[in-house]
Amino acid sequence: MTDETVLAIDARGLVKTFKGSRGQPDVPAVAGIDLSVERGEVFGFLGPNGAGKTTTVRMLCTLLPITAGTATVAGVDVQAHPGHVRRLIGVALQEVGLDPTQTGRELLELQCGLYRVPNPKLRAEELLGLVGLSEAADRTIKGYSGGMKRRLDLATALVHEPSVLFLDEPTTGLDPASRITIWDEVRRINAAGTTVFLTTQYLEEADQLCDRLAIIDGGQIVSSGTPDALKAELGSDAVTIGLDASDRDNARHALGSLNGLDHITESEDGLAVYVDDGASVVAPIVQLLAAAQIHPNMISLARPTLDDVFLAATGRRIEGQSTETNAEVGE
Amino acid sequence: MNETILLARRAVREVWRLPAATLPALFIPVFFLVVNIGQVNKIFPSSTPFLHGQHYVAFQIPVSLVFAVSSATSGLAMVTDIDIGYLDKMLAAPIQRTALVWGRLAADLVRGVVVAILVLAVGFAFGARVKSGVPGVVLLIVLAALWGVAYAGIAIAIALKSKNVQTTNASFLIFFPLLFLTPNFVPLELLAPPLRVVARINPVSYVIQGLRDLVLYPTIHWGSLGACVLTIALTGTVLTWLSLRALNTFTD
Repeated sequence: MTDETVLAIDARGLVKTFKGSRGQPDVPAVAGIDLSVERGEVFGFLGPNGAGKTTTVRMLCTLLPITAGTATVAGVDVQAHPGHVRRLIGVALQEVGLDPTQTGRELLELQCGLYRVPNPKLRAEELLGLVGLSEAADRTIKGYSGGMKRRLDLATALVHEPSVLFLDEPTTGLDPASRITIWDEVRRINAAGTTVFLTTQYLEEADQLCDRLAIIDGGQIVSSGTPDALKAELGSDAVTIGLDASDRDNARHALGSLNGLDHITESEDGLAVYVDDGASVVAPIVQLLAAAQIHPNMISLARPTLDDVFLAATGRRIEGQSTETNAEVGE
Repeated sequence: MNETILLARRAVREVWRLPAATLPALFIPVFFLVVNIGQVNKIFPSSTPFLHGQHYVAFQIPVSLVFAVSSATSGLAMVTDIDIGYLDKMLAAPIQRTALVWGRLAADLVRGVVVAILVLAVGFAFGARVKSGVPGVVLLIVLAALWGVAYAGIAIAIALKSKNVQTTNASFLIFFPLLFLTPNFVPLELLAPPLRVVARINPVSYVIQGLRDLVLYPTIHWGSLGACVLTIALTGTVLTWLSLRALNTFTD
């Protein structure tokens, strides 16, 4: 498994269909996805709840049978050699998998034993220090905070220095400070050479951590690339204009002749105007609106975000904002 | 094997740190023992032929032993592991999956030994004696604990199939009738004919009978002991197989 040319994760046409219960139709959770994750990268899998992120991770971690398609992890076929795959991967799932009756040290030593790590006590001590839990090591996990549990869970996935680390929504439910601590850990783990496959529904997390990412929605990958490339694909700055609802149609019409206009969408507060160079059009926008007797209550300029990428790919905001009423004008 | 020992140690620690999961299972059989003795002692004095000069408590001890070790504790612990995601972590580890069941059963053996010693101590305090002496006491403890291990498979299998605490807890409903459709209060020959037929085909009867003979007779009755061991072995084989099968299909 030292062949550097082998992909860390290579999935082709991966499908997972759950049988419908009591006469209900089957549920397609993952509908034929392809994934190529290079060794050493942090790869993000971004999508809303129910998009198919966890199902994909569970298939790649040998925890769910694959309905159709193929997958290799660290060059090993997941379906043909699940036991071999388990030796090469570390897994920290969305549900923190910790036995609350054990102490942090006991749990790590047990985990080291199960992975046949040569000196379990030493390795457990080392990992406890690494995730900042040395002082709490001999307390039962029941009394740990959410952030401590996440860090310990992460440590349990690292006992055998895995080649590929799967993190399923590692910061969901954590406070901002704990989230940043986990991010630092992920960066450190990755810097030490471990490939990280990370699912998240947090845009900032994907932006901060991932070298590349794929956006999944409805069980299908709708877009993939580096965060910057994905944003650049939109090719536009977004000028958000706060408007009363009654002014929006007139404003959209008035701005139709704006130089460099890409497209306009309706947002919660008014309109989002996508243009090639946002800084140069703020003044013309104000003039065009004034000429149409429209008075905006706010104008702001922003580079496209991953949320915009998600919106462009799926027609929805990742946080669940409905954009069904969005209408596009312009080119 | 190493994995089984590691997981058994973890399960034993869990039992030790969660006495609330074990003590109620111990309390109820001891409560039954005390109440039964209080109610029936005068009806069956020591001169009653089937007591062989012993206190009625001696006749009841095997029932209490079987009652006390037949628990759904391991199944409930398995459901908890499923709920908290710990089973997933174990399933993603490069271990023999069967070790997850064997580890639980090994812990059941330890728990069974401790519970059996406590029940015997209560019986001794009420005047019971094991006529077959120290070997009989050892056999009582070991066989009772092994029955606990054999029986545990049903709750583990239900836990893995249902993934639900209430359903797993309800596995006790399977055992409760089986315990009482036995010669638990009086010998088999004194049971009403229909009940006698049911008791004869009920495996729990053979376990109780084997243990009871160790308590009542000064010499070991190899026939009843053999039937008891065979019943434990068969029950254990079937129920453990069911639990291993449930584990193998858990992720399907």
